[in-house]
Amino acid sequence: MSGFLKIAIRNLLKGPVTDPYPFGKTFIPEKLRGKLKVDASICTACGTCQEVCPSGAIYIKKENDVYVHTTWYNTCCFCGNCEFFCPTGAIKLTNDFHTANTKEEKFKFVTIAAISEKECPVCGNKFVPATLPLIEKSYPHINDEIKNLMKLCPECRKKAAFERLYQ
Amino acid sequence: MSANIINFLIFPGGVFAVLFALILVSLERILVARLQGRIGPVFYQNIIDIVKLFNKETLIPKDAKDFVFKFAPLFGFSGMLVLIYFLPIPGVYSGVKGDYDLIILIYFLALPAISYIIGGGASSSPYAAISVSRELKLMLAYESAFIIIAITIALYVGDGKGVFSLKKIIDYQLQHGAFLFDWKMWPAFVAFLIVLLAALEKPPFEIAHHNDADIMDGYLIEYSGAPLALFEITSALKLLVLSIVFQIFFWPSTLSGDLFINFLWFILKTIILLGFIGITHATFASYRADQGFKFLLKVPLVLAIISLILVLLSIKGLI
Amino acid sequence: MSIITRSPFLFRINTGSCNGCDVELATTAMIPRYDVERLGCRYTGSPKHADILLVTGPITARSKSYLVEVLDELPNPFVVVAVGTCPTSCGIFRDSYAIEGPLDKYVQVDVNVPGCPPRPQAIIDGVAKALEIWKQKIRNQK
Repeated sequence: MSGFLKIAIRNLLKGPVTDPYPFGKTFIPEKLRGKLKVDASICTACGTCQEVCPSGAIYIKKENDVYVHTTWYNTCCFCGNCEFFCPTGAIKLTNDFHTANTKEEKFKFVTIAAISEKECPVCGNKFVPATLPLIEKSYPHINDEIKNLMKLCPECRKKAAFERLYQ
Repeated sequence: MSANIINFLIFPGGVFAVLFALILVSLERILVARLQGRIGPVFYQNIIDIVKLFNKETLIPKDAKDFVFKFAPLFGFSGMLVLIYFLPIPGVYSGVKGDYDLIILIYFLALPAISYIIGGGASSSPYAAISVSRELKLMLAYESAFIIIAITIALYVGDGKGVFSLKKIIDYQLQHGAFLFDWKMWPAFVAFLIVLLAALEKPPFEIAHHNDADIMDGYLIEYSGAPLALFEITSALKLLVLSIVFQIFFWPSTLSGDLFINFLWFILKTIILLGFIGITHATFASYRADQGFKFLLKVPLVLAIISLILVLLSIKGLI
Repeated sequence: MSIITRSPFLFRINTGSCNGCDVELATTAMIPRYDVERLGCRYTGSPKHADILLVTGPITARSKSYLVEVLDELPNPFVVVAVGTCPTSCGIFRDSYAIEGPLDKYVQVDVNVPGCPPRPQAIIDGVAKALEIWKQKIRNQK
């Protein structure tokens, strides 16, 4: 009891240590797993994140020429699997923890990223090209030839590869 | 308005007592928060609570005795209001003069606990039933010690003949020095502090009430809205009444003849007692029910009896 | 009348939660660092005193009846806050045979605080939003 009393008196003299959060600043750890950020220029809409998400928060849907990558936070458990498994590194968890939302916002509380398809310069088909961070993972040295092949659709790339073999 | 009605409705009873008691409870919450290193609520938090509770819907359980359930809070509340009108405040208010007001004080102090028991019993909840049985045992345990303390003081003041007038108790102490500084009364003083904590059900005697892990909110579990607000006011007024009783019994000293300075001194003494309650609240854990009753039956009772024996010996002239 | 919204009484019910959110709730109330008492909040032991109901857990089949009982006992006006991903949408337990959630099957949930568990600051945010909604409800009642 005397130990408690000592601590209590010390607290009284030192003053409160309360975080002034709703009215002031608060401490946020660097590696806090909060809302996610999708870099649409790197994402290839491969669907890995949708597959690995344990709570089914991520949904990728094709609308016209655009893949819409939707994350609904009201079922997200902030486990970070999407960031871990993302082959391109397009998904990053930020340390934004402000998750409280009202019932009107419930189904609007999402992060949306639009990954647009590109046109093949040879045949004109629409496709999602592989992005540079993905290629960097598979090839140690990237030359101009690989960069040119990246722009072609899978069919045209096959043709180009065969043509190169026969020449 | 005659002076009696003003005394009953405005000062020191009625409006002043209710507001002051609620602020005291808030101050105690702030003190506990500060001792734990928190900021705590604002100083008028409990007044807001009461205003809110009066605006809330009142639910009455299906199995409850409707009439008793609704009017049980009024019983304790009115008892406390009458008691504040009735008690003298040293140097500030002379109270209602009577020769046997100490006995009336003992009767009226039991009223809040009885109203809790009636209300909890009428609410037909098993938690309330357990809590009521604990409250009853707690009351028996601390009331016996309190009565012995009161008898000790009555015998000491009357020099062998019981004097049951609070006015005479105050006058005796103003002439001969407060009992707080009299070594024969020290065991009784410690016993009174323990009884005070038990009567207010602050830790370490938070057995029947606000004991969330054990019996939820005890006898208050079925209450909501206005009756709950009345119960909260009652427990706040009980704090004020017990602090006045403490000042009458042990520390009725006044600073000067001036009413205002005496009033400030009364508030200061009340806050000193509140500091003691806050420190025990922050540093003690609560007893288990059986441990609490055993402690209450042993320690304060024995201390009060020691004081009684010392006083009897001093009356006989042996010490 | 807006002053009375500064005294919300909180009641929390665990409907089969893993205790993560309960620990965070206890944290926001108890420890010096995130003191909710400065907002006037107080934990009560009975749903009949409560103004804000905090629900944790995905509402398992065993706990459903108790939840429904508590919801009946709340005096009007009250606000329901779903703390954690589980009561909001059942999260990773959504397809289990033992789950009867989410919470909005039984009552209108006013504020959702997703997270597994949510940060204490997020819960304080949720309580602050609940206070706004409570103010609205009191106005509508009059």
